[in-house]
Amino acid sequence: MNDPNNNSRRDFLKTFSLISGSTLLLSQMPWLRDLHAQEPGRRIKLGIIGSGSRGNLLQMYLKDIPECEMSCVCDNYQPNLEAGLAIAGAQAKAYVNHLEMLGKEQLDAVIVATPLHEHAHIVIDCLNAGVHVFCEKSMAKTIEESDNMIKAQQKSGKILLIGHQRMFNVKYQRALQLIREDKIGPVTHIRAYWHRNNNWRREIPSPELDRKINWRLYRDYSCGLMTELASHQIQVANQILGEVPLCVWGSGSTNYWKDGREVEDNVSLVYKYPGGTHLVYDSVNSNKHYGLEEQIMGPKGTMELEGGQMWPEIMPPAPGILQLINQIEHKIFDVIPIGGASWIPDSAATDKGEYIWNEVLESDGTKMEMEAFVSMVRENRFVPELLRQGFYASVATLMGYESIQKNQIVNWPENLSL
Amino acid sequence: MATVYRNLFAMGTRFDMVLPGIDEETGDFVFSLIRKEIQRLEEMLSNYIEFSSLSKLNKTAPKFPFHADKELFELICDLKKMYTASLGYFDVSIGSYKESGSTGAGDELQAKPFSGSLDEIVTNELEKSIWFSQPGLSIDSGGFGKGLALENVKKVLSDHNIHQGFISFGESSVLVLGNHPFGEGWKVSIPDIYSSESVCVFHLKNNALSVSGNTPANLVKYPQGHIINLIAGARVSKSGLVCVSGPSAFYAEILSTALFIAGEEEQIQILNNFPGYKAVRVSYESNCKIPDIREIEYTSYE
Repeated sequence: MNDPNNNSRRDFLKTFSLISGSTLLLSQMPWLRDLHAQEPGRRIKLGIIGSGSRGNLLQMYLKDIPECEMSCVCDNYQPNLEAGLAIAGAQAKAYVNHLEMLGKEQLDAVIVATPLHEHAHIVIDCLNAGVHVFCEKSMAKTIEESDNMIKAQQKSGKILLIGHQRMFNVKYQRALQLIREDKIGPVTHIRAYWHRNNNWRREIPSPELDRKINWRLYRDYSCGLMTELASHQIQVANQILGEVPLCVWGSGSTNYWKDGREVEDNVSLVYKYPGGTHLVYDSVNSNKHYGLEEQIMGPKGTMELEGGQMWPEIMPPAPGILQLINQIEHKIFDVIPIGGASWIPDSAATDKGEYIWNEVLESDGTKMEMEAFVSMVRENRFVPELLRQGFYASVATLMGYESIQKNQIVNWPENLSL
Repeated sequence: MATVYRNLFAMGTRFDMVLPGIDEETGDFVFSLIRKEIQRLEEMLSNYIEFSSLSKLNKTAPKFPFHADKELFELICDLKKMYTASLGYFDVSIGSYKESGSTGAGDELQAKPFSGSLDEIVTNELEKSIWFSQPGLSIDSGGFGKGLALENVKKVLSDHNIHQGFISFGESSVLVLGNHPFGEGWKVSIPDIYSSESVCVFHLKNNALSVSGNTPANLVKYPQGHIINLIAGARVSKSGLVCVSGPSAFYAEILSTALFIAGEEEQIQILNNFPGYKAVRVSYESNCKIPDIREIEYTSYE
């Protein structure tokens, strides 16, 4: 019988075995070391809280994981609730209140994919109820809320994983490995951007639902481009530099989509890290030419993580030239070969750089992230580094947002719980 | 003093430069000038750059006389002379044929018998204008760009009193200056494709070397070959190389292409029009693992 679940498991195991071949890679990613092929056995019971578009995508991946069952779905917007139930299957019960769901269901874990302003209190309720939690990024709407989530995790001892899927993206983790192997030298500069050319609005059935559905555009529910887009790339920068930023100064405005939205449609920020390295970041909603990218620069080369390519500062010498350089170094006068067997017509040569990971990836890491979360829950294995990455990305993101709002430099806060 | 090595990607291929006996700082400075010069030439001559001078010429000249700057005008005049001197085997109007069909295998090319001069490219010395009398005509820089760039690189180096070095553009055009640090001149070899031996060695000093042709490996990838014989109206699919050495990288590149296309008798005729240039033909035909090597002119290249 063709069981799609088996395909999923095979993909996961294949990917995992490919990237786990290097001990150095594993030392950079303890969460991968902790993942093991799952033996068939007990299925964990999952609750879905927030079944909008992102929640539905997570559900689609969860559906392919045989070790979990989506036993209930909670959403206070009926169309989303129905969509979530349709994916979860006939066994799933419906709730509109997460506290009621926690009270009635015996859940192992929940997936929280609600609008940002709901993250903190829901996650804290779930942790206090003794349930493991996967919470979509960004972690919370304020640094204080994020810190409270950390405190709740520490008190409960339950798993809390924040959805930064690039931590589970093979291409990104391979890039991290190459950076640690000094492929581009020490990272001296990072430039990242996320550019789109659309109004960032979702269709609404009636005007009174605008704030509920287009919550990303209003300050009561979201911090706009910072929490919805930048947080991903700030997490990448933190992980690559192995540091958190000392401070940030940023600016933002609404210079194009003057349609009543409260969040900026363009932001520009500079994050300063220890050692004087900077992350220069911008995001706009009015031009998509440059799209999405993280450019990692060092004295020996440049990496573009989204594109999955790298370029050495100096191309390695052609074989004949290398032979000549070696001859001179060894004080030898010998022939210099050109146009040999490897010689190809010039028109065929291109400067495509090198591929960081030259296989087409099925997912951006989200699928593997879901599999990892299920694995962690089954083994009751909390990976502190993953939570640190999510928390620090959240803090740095919200520092940037604060800097934009206050028009001043914002320093890394003291007395954080992690 | 160190040996400075620098490279860059330009004109669809790689440029490598080895300069012994200079310090890194001087190397960096000179390389920055060379990079600018190569980029300038590429911006002038590339058909892949929409607003290059050559693109503008190709777009305008079929309709109206194109007023070129002195450099481009003189280049076009020189290329016309090369057409005549190469008996039509070097023809910059090859761009017209690339446009009419794709460059892939199986193109239908129209034969263009040698007419003695490239009259369809009409030049006006007084106005420095260029006009194409034949509709659809287009000039392609693929057969001379790297050689021209090497000549300009030689001038930059000479202007900065650098007279020793080995410079390669795409490993098919090479320029050598002065002596190897540990020997007289530079020994440049064409490796045998079947072994680690050389099929021929050019002992060069203040000279250029250009290689054109198809290796058997290329022909697996491009069975029709990548060089076009406009006189026959066909791609040249024979397996072999022609290597030309001489004082100018520009003329060496033009000659190697023309000689690869031309027949044996015409090769001698063409070479006679280029005093000071020597050529070696390497053939990989006959399914023979030992290449057939012949000097086209009985002048020692040692």
